[in-house]
Amino acid sequence: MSTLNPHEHDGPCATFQMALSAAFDGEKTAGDFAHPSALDGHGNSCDDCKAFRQILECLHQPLLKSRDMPIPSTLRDRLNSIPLTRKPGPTLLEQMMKTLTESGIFQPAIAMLLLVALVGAALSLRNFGNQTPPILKHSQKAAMNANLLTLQATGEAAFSLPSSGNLRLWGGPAELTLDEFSSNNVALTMKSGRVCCNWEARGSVPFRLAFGASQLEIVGTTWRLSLEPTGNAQLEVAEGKVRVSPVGKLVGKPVGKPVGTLVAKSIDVSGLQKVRISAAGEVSPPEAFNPFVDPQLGIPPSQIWIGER
Amino acid sequence: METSDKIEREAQDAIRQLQSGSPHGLRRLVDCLGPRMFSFLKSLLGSAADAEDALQETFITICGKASQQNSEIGSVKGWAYKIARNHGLQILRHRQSDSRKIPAPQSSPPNPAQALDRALLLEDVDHALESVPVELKMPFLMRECLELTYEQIAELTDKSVNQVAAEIYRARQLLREYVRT
Repeated sequence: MSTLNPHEHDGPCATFQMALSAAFDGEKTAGDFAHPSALDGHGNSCDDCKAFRQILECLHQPLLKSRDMPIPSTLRDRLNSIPLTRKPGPTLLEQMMKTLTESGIFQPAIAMLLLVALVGAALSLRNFGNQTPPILKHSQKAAMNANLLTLQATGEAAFSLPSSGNLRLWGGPAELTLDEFSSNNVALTMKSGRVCCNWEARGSVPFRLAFGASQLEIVGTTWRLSLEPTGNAQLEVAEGKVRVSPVGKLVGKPVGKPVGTLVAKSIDVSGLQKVRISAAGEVSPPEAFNPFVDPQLGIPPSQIWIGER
Repeated sequence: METSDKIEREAQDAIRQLQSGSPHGLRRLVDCLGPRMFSFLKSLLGSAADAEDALQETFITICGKASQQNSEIGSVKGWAYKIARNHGLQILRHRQSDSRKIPAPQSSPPNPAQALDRALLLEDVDHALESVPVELKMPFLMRECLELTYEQIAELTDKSVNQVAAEIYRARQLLREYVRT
């Protein structure tokens, strides 16, 4: 956009009003526009400029009130629950170690303490996922109890990662657990129902969703998974790519192994494809899927991408 | 300006606490910068839900980069506002696929000299702002909601002070037309 020069437009009105606008903001009018007092004669006689002077205050008042209003309490809670990257001060263990070292208590006590710390660290690594609570951005007709998400038919829940990963779940009813939701790994387990999902992450954050005897490996994508009471499932991929890997019972065609040894076979399901997955984890050949006419997915053809981004 | 300086001092104290990992620092920063940034993003994006998302992303970035911020050098407030502006712009860019055209005023143009005969509500201003191009409404809202000076806006947006003055004037001119139609 080029710099607006009031002198090029409609003469004294534009010059006066631009100076008036700057003066209203408490700015010393500089450069190529005059101070409004220099044009007072014009300002007093021109109805348009008088009206402009009035509009400045009219526009300012509502915005002034808005900026002084406190933010909604739910938003405030969300912001205050953002995980911090650094721990506040030394840990209890660090403090104890320091005290022991400074007080000169002999080596066996320190060795014992180190052993306890190592066991503790191993346990905390096992439960690493549970230590990073997901940041719930939106929740509409969806309930989060511990790590269990219950989504209603018209519900929606959106989560975000500090590393700019975004997960949106909708189109229930469904029950899922968020086993891990961190910048290192996202792991969900689908208990029942049907869910649509959109996952986008900057960089490569592994995303896995387990259900029945199968596991989905998801690369930034939009898809829907429907679990049937029989244990069978249908996966419809609107965009991106989902790799289906059977876990548990090993089924599928033997690949490069002696007869009699069954090997799990992963299948990549690309955008605009759907597959059926049996309760045992067997995956049917991909069929065509049209998400454009699907009211739940509702993606315009121009916004579809297929495969890896 | 005094209020603005007070906010800057409070933001500097809060960022120092945040750098030491104190959740209290985050709470102070949310309380001192949150309302203005929320007001700015709400008017910029025309949606409270989008503004909430953008503000959350802003604070996530602030928490992630707090350790890199030297509160003794430069303005904490300006740094935070720049992050908020960038997240707001990011959401606007996502929306660009809608390729919405700038709607022209629906009715016949009013007499330019006609003054408003009623006080405006925030909804009126926000509705009118939807029709103002983002390159004009950005400096206008940075001035009105974030209370930045033209020089600060120029610095944050890589423009000259005169260009900022011209864009704010142009935004007001357009708003004046739209609030009356």
